[in-house]
Amino acid sequence: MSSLLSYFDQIRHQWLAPSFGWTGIEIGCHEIKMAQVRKLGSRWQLEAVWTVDHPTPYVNPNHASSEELFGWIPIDKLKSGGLSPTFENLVSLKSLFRGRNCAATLTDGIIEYRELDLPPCGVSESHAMVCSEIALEKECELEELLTECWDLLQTRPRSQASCFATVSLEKSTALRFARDLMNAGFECRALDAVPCAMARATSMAVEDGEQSVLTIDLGYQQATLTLVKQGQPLLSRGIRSLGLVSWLESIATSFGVSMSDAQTLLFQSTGNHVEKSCENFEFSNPLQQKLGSYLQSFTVELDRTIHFASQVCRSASPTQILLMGPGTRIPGIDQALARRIGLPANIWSIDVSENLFGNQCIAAYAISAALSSLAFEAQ
Amino acid sequence: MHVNLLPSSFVWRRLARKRIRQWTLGFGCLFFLFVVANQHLVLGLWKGRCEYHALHSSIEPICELQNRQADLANQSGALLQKIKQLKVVVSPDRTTSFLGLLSQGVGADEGKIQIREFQVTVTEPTKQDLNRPKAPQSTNTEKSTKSSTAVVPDGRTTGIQYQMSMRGISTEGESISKLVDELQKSSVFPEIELRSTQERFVSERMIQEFQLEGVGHE
Repeated sequence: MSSLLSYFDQIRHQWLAPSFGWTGIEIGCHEIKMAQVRKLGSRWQLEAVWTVDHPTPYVNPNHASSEELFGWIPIDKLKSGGLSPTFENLVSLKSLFRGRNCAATLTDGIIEYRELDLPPCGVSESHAMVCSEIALEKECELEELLTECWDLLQTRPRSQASCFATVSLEKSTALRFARDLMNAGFECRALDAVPCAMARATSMAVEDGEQSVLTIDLGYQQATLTLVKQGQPLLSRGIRSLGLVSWLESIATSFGVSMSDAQTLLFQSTGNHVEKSCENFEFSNPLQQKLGSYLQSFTVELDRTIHFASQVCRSASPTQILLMGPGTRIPGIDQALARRIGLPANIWSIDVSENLFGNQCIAAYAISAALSSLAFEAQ
Repeated sequence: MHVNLLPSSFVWRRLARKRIRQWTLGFGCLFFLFVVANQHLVLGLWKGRCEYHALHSSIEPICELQNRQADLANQSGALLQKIKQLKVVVSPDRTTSFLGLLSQGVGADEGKIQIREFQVTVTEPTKQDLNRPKAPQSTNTEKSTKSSTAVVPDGRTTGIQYQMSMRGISTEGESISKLVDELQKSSVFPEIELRSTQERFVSERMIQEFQLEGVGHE
C-alpha cells in the first residue's frame, strides 16, 4: 500500500504538478505577512497577499496617543505566546489561499543568524561542531536547540578556515509556531531562515543568477542585508539601528506626532523626500532633513558591508542593490540609495495577478513570496 | 537553497498524519464502493423478490384450478371405484340372459342351427380411456349409444364393454337370418353383426358355417 501511495505521489508530481506555491508566512514582531505565488513557465506571479496585525501590540508609552494603532510585540512575548493572539484571523484567512501547505519564517532576529569559522572538515562534522558551539554559547542543551548551517564559500587565506553561516532557534519556539499554524488550518512544511528566503526572493526577481546582488530587507525592527549570488546567501547582516521603527521614533519625537502619523508621513505617496534630499543636500523641510541624516547612516552601513563583502568574497562583489520589505514604501528610496552607493538599486518586483486589487506594495511580501516558492524547490 | 528548522518529531508526526489521511481516504473510497455495490445487489434481490411475488400472485388462480382439478380427479376416481363396486352387486349377468335367448332361438328352428363356439369377453376401461374426451358422434349413433349404454350422472358411461363372438353351422341360410333378428331384438347385445357365412358340403349335404359378433356397453 505504501509503495502504491508513493507511485501515486510520483504520478502527481510528474503529471499533476501544481502551479501554485505554498502559503508563505513571514512572522514578525510588527505584523504577519502572507503571500502565495504561482509559477507560469519561468515566470513568477503573485496570486494572493495579506497582512495580519498583532491584535494586542506593544505601544511605546512615549509616543502613545489616544488613537495610537502602531505597535509591535516584543520578541520574548512573541516567542512565548506564539500565534495564539492572531489565531482567529489566521483561521479566517485560510480560504484566501490555495492548499493547506505553508512555509514560514520568523523575522526580526527571532531566528538567530551567526557566522562561524571552522577548521576544514566534512559536512556532518561541521554541523556537529556548529551545534555544540551554539549550544555552548547559549548555555542550553543540544536537544533543545535547532541549528542549521551552510558553507558561505568565503576564504580565510591565513587560517585556512571555512566560514559557515548558522541559524538557530529554540525547539520549543519552533514547535509552538508550527502547532499554532497547524491549528489555524495550515500544514507547516518548512521553517526557513530569512537569509535563505531573501536569496530565493532575489532569484525570483533577478533573472541573471551570475550577478552578485546585495539584497536589503527594510523591516520594522531591523534591516537585513544579504549578499546573494546564484541563489546562495554568501553574507548576511542584521542591523537593528536601521529598522523602520528607529526612523519612525525619530520622526515622531522630532515632530511630536504619534508613530502612526509618523508612518503616514514617511510612506505618503505624494512626497519624494529621500530623492530630493539626496540630490541637493538642501532640505526643504524638517522631514527631509531627518530622512537625509538616516540615509547617511544607512549609506555608511551599506558601504561597510560592500567593503567587507569585497574582501571576503572577491568573486562576488555586489553589482546591484535589491530592496524589499515594508521600508520600500518610502517613496524614492531606491533612487536615493543608488545615487549614494553608486550601484543600481531596484525594488523587488514580480508579476501580479489580476485578482490582486489596490495599490499593493508587493516588495513588502518578497520574503513571503520566496517562502511560497519553496513548494517548487521542495519537489 | 533553504533550511528547515522544524523539529524532526513534528515532521514525523505530520507525515504520519498525512499517511493516515491518505489511508483513511483510500479505505473510505473502498467502503463507499462496497456500499454502492452492496446496495446494487440488495436492490437487485429486492426487485427479483418483488417480481417473484407479482408472478406468484398472477399464477395463483391457475394453481388453485390445478389443485381443484386434482381434487376432482381424486373424487372422480373414488366415485368410479364405487360405481364399479356397485355394478358388481347390481348389474345383471348378460351372458346368462344371452344364453337363454340363444337357446330359445336355436330351439325354435328345430335343430337346423348348431352352435359350436361361444365366447364373451368383458373389457374394463383404463383411466386414460375415461379421461379421454369423447369424439363427436352423429345423432343416430348417440341415440343408439344412449339406448345401449348406461350413463353415469356426469354424462360418462361406465366404460365396461362386453364383446361376444359365436361360431356355428346351419343347414338353412334362412335360419341364420332369423337367429340374428331374434338376437338383435333383445337389448343384451344391441350391436349384432353377421361377420361371415361360408357354404360347405359335409357328408354330401350342404351346410353353412357362420360367425356372429356382438358388442354391448354398460
